[in-house]
Amino acid sequence: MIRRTLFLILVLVVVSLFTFVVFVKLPSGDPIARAVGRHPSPELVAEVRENFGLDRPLYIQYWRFAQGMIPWPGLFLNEDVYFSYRTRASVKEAMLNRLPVTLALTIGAAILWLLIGIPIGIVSAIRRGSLIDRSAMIFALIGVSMPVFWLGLVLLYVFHFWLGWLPTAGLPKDQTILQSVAEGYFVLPWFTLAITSAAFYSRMTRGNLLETMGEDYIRTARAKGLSERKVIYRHGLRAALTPIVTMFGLDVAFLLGGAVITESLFQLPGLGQYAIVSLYGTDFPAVMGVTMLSTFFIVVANFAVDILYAFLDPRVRYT
Amino acid sequence: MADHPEHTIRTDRGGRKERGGKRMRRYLKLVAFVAILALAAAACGGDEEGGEGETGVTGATGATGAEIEPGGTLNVWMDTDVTAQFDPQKEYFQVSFAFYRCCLLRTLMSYNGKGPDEDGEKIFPDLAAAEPTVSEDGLTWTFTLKQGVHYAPPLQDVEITAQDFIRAMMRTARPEVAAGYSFYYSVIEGFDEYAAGEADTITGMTAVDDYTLEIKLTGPAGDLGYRLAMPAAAPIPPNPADPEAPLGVAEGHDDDYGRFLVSSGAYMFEGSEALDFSLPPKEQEPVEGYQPDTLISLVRNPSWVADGQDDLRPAYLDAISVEICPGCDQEVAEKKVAADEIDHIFANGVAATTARTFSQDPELQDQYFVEPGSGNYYIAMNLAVPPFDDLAVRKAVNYAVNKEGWRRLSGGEASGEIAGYFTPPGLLGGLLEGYDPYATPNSQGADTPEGLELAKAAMSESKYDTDGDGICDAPECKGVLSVGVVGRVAEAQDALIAQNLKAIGIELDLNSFDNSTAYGKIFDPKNQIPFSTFAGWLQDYPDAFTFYFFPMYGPSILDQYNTNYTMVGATPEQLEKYGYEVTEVPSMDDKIDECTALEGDARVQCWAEADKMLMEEIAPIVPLIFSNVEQIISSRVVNYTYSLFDNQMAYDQVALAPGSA
Repeated sequence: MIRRTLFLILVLVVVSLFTFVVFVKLPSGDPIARAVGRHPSPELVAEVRENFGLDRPLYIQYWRFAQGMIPWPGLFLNEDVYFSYRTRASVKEAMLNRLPVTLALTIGAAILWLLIGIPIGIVSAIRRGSLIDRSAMIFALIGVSMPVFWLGLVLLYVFHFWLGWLPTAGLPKDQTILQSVAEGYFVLPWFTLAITSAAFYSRMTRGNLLETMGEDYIRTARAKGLSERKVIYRHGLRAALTPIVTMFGLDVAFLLGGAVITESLFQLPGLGQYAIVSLYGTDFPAVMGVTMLSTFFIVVANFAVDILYAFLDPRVRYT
Repeated sequence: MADHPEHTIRTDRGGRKERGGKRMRRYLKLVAFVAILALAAAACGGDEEGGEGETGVTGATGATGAEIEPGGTLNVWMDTDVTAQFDPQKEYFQVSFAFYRCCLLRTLMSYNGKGPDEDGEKIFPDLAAAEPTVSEDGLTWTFTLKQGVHYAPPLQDVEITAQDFIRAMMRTARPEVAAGYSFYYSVIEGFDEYAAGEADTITGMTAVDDYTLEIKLTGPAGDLGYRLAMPAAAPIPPNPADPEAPLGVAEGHDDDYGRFLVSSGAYMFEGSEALDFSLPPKEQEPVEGYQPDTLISLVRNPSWVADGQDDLRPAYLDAISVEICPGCDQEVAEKKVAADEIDHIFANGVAATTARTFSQDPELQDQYFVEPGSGNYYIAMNLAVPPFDDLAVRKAVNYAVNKEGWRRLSGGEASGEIAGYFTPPGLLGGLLEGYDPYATPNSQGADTPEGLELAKAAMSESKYDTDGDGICDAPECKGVLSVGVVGRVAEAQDALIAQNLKAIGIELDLNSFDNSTAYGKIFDPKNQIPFSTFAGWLQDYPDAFTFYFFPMYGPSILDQYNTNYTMVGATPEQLEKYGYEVTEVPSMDDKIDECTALEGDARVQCWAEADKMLMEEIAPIVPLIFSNVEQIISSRVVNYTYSLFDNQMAYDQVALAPGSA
């Protein structure tokens, strides 16, 4: 556990340093220009530069940001450093407001793509070469080929603007996220995100299961007289899911950092939307905040996946 | 002011439509959206190509004539937040200016929220009881305030008095506040001294009594009324819990006053009544009605209703709810407008497909407007870099550029009116209507034989055309560095300009950068950028001064963040300082100084003369278009009114259709 925690800290430091260096050395714009207006006096420029902390040596600038990553009251994402250059609002406040939206989007979509993708993959593997298998392959091909923005627009147009069956893009401001989920505001975004992944997961499940079912221990299991159902679910699927769990962990973690296109299309105020606007706006504190959160999710997801390995594969032991 | 769909800063015009980093994504989405529309059209058996619908529908009123019924909530969408959390001193942004004018802040003088045909460019007494009295020398302005006008809750018992305006100016001057446009107030006596910490008060501002404010200037400024109509000049109330606090309720809120803003307008942030100024500033809770990057929720200001002293704003709506969705897909929002799910998009343009849909669909035509903006686009030629140090070359370039082609690439007539001069016509009272000293057939420049002949004739007068054949043959005309912005449209426009100039022997070395980088290059006079294809300007307020003071005035040249890209008016010392080999450039500083001191019609006439002087005697720019603003509204909106000051639909003038509120 201690080793894992130290690894997490090391990753965060390396990523933050890399992000900082990229921002400082390859800036896409001047954050001061936006803040000083069209005819700034040198005094105003100096004042804003000082307010933004950009007048200090680089190592101090980095240290101030690094301090903000320490999960301690008064330090964690403190507003003296982590305020948006673009809106001058607190990055922590913005991220906390947006996290529930991204969580709802990611969790819902992930459940959906597992519910669609894995059963299709299993059936497809069991009924290899059948009509079901071929249909599943066509679904996978179409699903993987559809760009998310296109699929989202089609779904929105058909199911909201045309048929009126599902709610519009955006979230009502007077509702909690749970209420919005209950009223179906996330259904179209979920499907938009899930279909592509479900298609991919179905192919992965099918391929892994077919490979596993050819293993010696499966033959042994059958020879022991186990029912085919038990052979598939207890022995075959369990092993076949190991690489899928790895991918799932990373996919979910990646989405928790923000599903940029889906959030943009469905006007969901999530972290992905925040990240992309901050990037365009040369809003370094916000970029740093989102990057660190995404990194955190990815490292934690890896950790969770490792634990799941031990559960799924008896040969793996967690130390 | 900010001007383009992605709401760049007021610093400059920013990129044009379809420019910038979102280009590819937008393009792909556009293709997808067109495909969907086509599918839908086929499924419905419709014929979207059937009509010859106008794309340039212009009108100051849309669904007017309908009965106006007060009440209801207007639903607005915008894809960007304000830039400084509604801090009236810091905000230097079209979006925030619009919200201040319509809804949140009243000033001594203000606008009627209407267009150019209804005196929208003029200012009227707002918190002032009447026009100011101006001394004969123009240096002393006296304002008499309306009595009995109160702030919004929680300060509904606090009356607006003369001292509150002084407090606002003090906050504007304070360096630690880092106000956006304090330079407009340097003309007030003692302002700069107070800013420098050399005085405890602004000596030129005196509250003669609660309702009389006297302002003394160091020099004449005929547009002082306009300057005082800007949000930074709106009154800041005293803090009843701490009457000695110099900045009143803004004390201790150098960085976040906007979230504690006490309204003086027709609306206020929802939850304003919960503001508690008796607490130390750090312990105060901000208003609920503004959540950065998320929402703006405005409700009626009960004090405004009770006082009933506003002749400029009917304010029919009960509330205005704004969804802020940075980075969101505007085309989806535009579909929501068509479906009446939202009422207005706070932006300066709409997607081409949406404009086509709204302008051609008989059911939507009344909901689409193309309004004259208050800005321009132009090409800037650096007078201190050969070959543009030669007036003949600059005139030749003016003749050569195919403005009509440039506009067509921008989106056609809806994008703007072809410009023959610099200042938008609305600011010159139409005095220069039809004026174009470099007119060519159909404004197509060197792409017409006549235009090419005119350009060559001008070039033949240049020292860089040694054989007088109308084609520049000097090495200075080869590989001329041109800075533009990336984007499908922008790069096509740049290629067109390059092709036009090649016809007169000027070979451009086109370089395209993202917006920030491009501005970074031309902001620095030491970079000596000879030719910029993406320049543009937008008014701060409807007076030509805001066009000349920055890009055409020598004393405005800055070492960094310089917006006088042509270096017109630069002194020999400045040129030497920035490393130019050219030692002298033309100036129009005297003319600008002359116009600045005037008022009324004489002032407008003077600016018109200045424009002629600029175009004929100096010609540092090629004016391209006076930009338009496209607006779409839902069918619920009635009494559509366009505000020339902030270039947006005026929320204080519109209402909702009976039954839809």
